[in-house]
Amino acid sequence: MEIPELTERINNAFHLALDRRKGSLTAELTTDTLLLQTGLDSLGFAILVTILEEDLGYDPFVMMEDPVYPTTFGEFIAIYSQYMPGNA
Amino acid sequence: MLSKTISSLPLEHVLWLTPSGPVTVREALQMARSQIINNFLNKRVAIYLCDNESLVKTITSIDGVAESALLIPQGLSTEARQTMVSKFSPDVFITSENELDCSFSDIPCIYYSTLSSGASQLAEEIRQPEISTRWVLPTSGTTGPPKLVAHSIDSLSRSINKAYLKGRNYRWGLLFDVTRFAGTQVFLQSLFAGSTLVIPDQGDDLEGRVTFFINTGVNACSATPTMWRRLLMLPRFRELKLKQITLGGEISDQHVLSTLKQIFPDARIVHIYASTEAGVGFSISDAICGFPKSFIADPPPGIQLRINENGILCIKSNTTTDQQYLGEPGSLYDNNGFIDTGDVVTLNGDGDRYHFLGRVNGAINVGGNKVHPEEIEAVAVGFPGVRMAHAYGKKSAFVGNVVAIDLSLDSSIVNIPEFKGAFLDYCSTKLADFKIPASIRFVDDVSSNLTGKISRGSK
Repeated sequence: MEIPELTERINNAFHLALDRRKGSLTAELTTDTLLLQTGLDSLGFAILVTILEEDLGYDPFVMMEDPVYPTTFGEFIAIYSQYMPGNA
Repeated sequence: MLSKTISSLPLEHVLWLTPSGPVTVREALQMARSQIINNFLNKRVAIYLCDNESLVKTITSIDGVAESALLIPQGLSTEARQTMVSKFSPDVFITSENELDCSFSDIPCIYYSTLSSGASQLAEEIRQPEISTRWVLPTSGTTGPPKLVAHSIDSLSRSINKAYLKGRNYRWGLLFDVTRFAGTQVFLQSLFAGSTLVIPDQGDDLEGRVTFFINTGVNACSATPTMWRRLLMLPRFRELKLKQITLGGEISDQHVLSTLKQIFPDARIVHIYASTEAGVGFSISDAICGFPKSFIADPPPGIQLRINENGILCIKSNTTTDQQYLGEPGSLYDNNGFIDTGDVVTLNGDGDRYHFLGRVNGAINVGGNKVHPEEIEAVAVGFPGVRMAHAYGKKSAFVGNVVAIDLSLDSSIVNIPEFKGAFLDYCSTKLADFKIPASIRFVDDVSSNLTGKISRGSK
């Protein structure tokens, strides 16, 4: 899967997670957007990752040996790209 | 008695640092002393204040005067609050005009603003007999309303390092409400050790709080692993010059411990195992998850540990045993004075370390909040179309665990996405947010063993 499609899937999942948390997007989702300014809290991120696991079939945060905590939306996408089965 | 404790500190020592400025020992002692004694001596006091600055001042003044005091947390429904209050049965309320209109309460009610104004004589000796005020805190919640557990300041501060000389150089950042056990611990730690507690604006988000911490030179922080993971997602977080990192409230995983150690190589990292029920616990100061096997034979000061035949950790405090559930029959203790913590442990491969596996009753810890699968299942089967439900915990790198649920549906349900949306909407009317399933699977049959009970294993 190429980055543009992955970005779109993650973008959609973001909105779904925000819906579930009854929140709204507080910053536009660009590469440099700080994740903690998007309106999602810790539980929201947990839900986002679960939604993505159902959509994409994997959870990179469970897969990683050394934990990485993304700060921006771009970093978040990069993690999903890096750990995508087939990319390793 | 807390006011006695602080009066042994220099008068100009800054106890609390807030956005509106420092509060010294002198100012804390000036809180209308005579009014406190007149209104609260030997009384059962319910405290409903929602900003941490008022809370710390009130707690410090009331301790040693009131017979018992209930700290009512924020965010409860009116009904839950009323249940809690009637269980506690107060003689008097302390609140603020923002929280409760006193005219609606049939219990005498005093506004915090009347207590905090009006300086009293500093040199007043505290002459009445020292009362060991019972502090009542709600637990993090099981099924139904939170249970109330009574503590003394002694029992609450048992695991606190009170060495004044070391404490002087610490500035603790407060991230939790003082009504929560985690917040109470930081408040007491800072007070006893002669440190300064930095209290951010109640309305600030996490980024705002961290900025305030950076500006005020916070060098010590205590939080749940979930909160630490969230802090690690803030770019400016690394600017904090942390000397002391404390983790508690959830099992600390190796990942978060290792990352903190990597970013703050000079900090002392301590993870704490404790619960509101036990009122006591122990700390581990190597940055490795679990605890050494040697703690069983050679335990940390003040406690004894044992693993029972079911692999559950049990703790006994060597000092007073004054924890009990308010309004509940029976005692928490077994015949030998050990409290069953409900946490399952297992020995690692090398046989030198115990690791935590989770709760024996399958309770799921979602970011420090306990969830019982049975409650979620009971809610789920109440929704039309759900034949059976099995709720369980699913590991999450962000909050430790999330609630997952397998549903077996009536054959009449064909539109799964529509069903899922309606089901989640329904859950949000019945359950607190952390209890709502994050993951829903649709299965033909929820697995059950021969007795017809849902088989629960770890996932």
